Amino acid sequence: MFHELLEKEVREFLKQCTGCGKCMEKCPIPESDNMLIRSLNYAAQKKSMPTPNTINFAEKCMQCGGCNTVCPANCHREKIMLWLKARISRNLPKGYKKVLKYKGNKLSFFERIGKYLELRKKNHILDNLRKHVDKKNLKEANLLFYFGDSVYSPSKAAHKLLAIADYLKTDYEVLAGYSYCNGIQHYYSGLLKKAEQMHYALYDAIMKINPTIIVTLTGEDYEAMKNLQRHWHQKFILKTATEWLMDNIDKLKMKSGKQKITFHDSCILSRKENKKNVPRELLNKLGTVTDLPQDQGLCLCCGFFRAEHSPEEMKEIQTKKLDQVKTKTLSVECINCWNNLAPIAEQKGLKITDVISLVYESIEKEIEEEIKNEVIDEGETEE
Amino acid sequence: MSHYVIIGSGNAGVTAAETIREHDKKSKITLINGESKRFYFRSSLLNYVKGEVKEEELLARPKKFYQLKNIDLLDNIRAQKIVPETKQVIIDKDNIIKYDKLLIATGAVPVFPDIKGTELRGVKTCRSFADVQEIIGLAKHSRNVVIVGGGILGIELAYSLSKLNNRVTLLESETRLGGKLLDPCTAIRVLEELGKKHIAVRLKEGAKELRGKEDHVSEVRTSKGKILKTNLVIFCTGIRPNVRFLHGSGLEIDKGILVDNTLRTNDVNIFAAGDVAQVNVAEKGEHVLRQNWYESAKMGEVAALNMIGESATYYPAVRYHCTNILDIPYACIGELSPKSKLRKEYEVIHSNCKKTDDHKLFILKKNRIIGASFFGERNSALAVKELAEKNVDVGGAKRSFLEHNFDFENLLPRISEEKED
Repeated sequence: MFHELLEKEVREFLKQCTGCGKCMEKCPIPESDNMLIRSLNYAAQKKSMPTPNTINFAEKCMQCGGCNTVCPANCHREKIMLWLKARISRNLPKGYKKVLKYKGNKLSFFERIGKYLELRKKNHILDNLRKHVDKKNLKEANLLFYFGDSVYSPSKAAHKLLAIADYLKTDYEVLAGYSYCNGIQHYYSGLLKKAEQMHYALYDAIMKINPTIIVTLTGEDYEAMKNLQRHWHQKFILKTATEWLMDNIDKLKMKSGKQKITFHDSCILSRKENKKNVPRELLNKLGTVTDLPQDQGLCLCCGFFRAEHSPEEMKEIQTKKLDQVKTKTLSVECINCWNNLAPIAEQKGLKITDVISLVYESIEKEIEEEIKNEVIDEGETEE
Repeated sequence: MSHYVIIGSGNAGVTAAETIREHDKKSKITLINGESKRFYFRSSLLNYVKGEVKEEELLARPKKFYQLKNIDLLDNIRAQKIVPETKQVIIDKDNIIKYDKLLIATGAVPVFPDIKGTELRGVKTCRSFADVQEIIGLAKHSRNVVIVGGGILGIELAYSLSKLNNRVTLLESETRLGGKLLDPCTAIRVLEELGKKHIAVRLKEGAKELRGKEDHVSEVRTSKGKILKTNLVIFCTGIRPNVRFLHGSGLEIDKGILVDNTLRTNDVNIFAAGDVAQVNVAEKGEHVLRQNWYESAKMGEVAALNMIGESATYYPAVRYHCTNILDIPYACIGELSPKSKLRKEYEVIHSNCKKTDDHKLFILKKNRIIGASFFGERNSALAVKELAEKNVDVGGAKRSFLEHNFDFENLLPRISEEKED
């Protein structure tokens, strides 16, 4: 399904492209200076493999979407690049062969056989992922927190958000962990089929819970939920964590502070979904917000989609970005941005927080008191 | 093995050649290129004037493309005549090309208004690469430039030349800029922006006469009697389909070549695509021109499929035009100025153009979007275009159209049917 949809879209974009080259000017990847629009378009159009140069560039594209913001014809160059990636990934060795290519030479004979069997089993699970995902313990709820793998983030934003939800005494269900992966990272790496399998598995789980509101922490989770909404016409209302906090702002007794905060926009939430005002509104209640100087706050990507593949280059881009921060605190909305920027920020002695943690910190005492009271209450009833 | 001949190697022509080759690996394809430069991105010529794009980057296909695809390309050759009875394209006395299927994709040529002095040197139009190169050469030696015609091309050209340190005056005979492609609010905004960039705009004023010294233009007399000193005048007063060489060939011609929805002309073996084709719209009972980069590629593809015997149709349904005006994104969809007689049938929803930075406008007929324009933020343009194409009833949601971040994608019909496992 993803494959056909993307192909259809890309065919249209290729016709609309007027070749002005603005996307390549905007592109944060150094190789973009030498890329020609005609060769990129031609590579996306033809069926045979692109040139090594183009493959290299496509693999480095991190899908930040900056190219779309400058395109006069409203083409999504990032989708054309994704199409190229999907094509390239199809031609790469798969499964057992892939392991052999990357790790195989160091393995002994028996290890190889073990690996082969393990992969066979894994592939079998992946093909029927829908059946293997545990749906027994899910109950129906109005409010669903969908965290995906952002729940593992050391920022503990997910836990804090749930603590706030408890404090507000709301009834909710949580969907998190690797088994409910959103598949967006696979999608943006061009592994459309894997992403599709995860999409279906997630669809089943959400159908079971049948929520009216879904709250997400990261841009990727948001996009995955949006895909569900689009493809299946689900009626739920989709919200980012900051939007949900804004809805409940009256119930939270937040203290305004004087701290200065630099805000880093998320590529999906701020650029694609155009939600750049919500976190700023929330942060303005806690302190004063400044943007990163690059083009009105719509700055470079944190490197989430390519960080694993070219860590050195990503580090360079991230350092360049953090050099522009003039305040002591840097705040992000998307937890994946946090995960990617935190190590570099630590090196620079920069305090990096996410919006939820900032809100949590400002009402931490009240939450703790609430918990104490509850414990006492429970103690009394037991007696 | 048949011989496909394509006259014109613009967007429609090259796309057609490409599509034919995709389906038919063996047949002979001949592409006749009337210009000295091979297929280039015409819409980027203004970026070339500004110096943002190099000449090298203008080419729209890799250099080896024609060789790889086995397409015979004849550069710098113009067809003089076609003879449908004997299936021949006549280049000159000695060179005659015989075809099995012919595609005419000769595009359009600029029009001069009927005034005195257009033959003088320093009077130019802006259409081809050669034109643009001459304009750049002339602009270096002239302080004052007059541009006649305030369409999107005129506006953008004025901006590009003002960046090259020329003092530009823009003449527009209508009461507002942009013609059919800009809505009134955007036109006002663009006018303000032009003022900020020190480009003089004279509305309700056209060129009446050009006078020259020693065969070179020296002044323009406007319809209001004002005399503007200049040595470069550029006409951006529209284009007409390039069909002169077809007179007497027996093909049906109105403004362009009349074609049905398979892009076939009245001759079975001759097709037309791109700016030169005037396509049948059955509902309106007339033939319309769709002169746009994107539509050209679409037409080229459809024509090619029909030439090789597969069936495909092209319906000039919803107009879609996206560009940057003075570096501000703009998108217009469908009809922006419906006929005033029927005005009661239409409902117009638009943002206050004085208050907001981003301007939005929607025109609805019976709760269906038939036109829209976005100036500034245009994230939802593609979704709105799809809504207009699919004729979706949007009556329930129209009140919130102007809300920041309204999700138009939610109104689209579902992509896939629910699957039960």
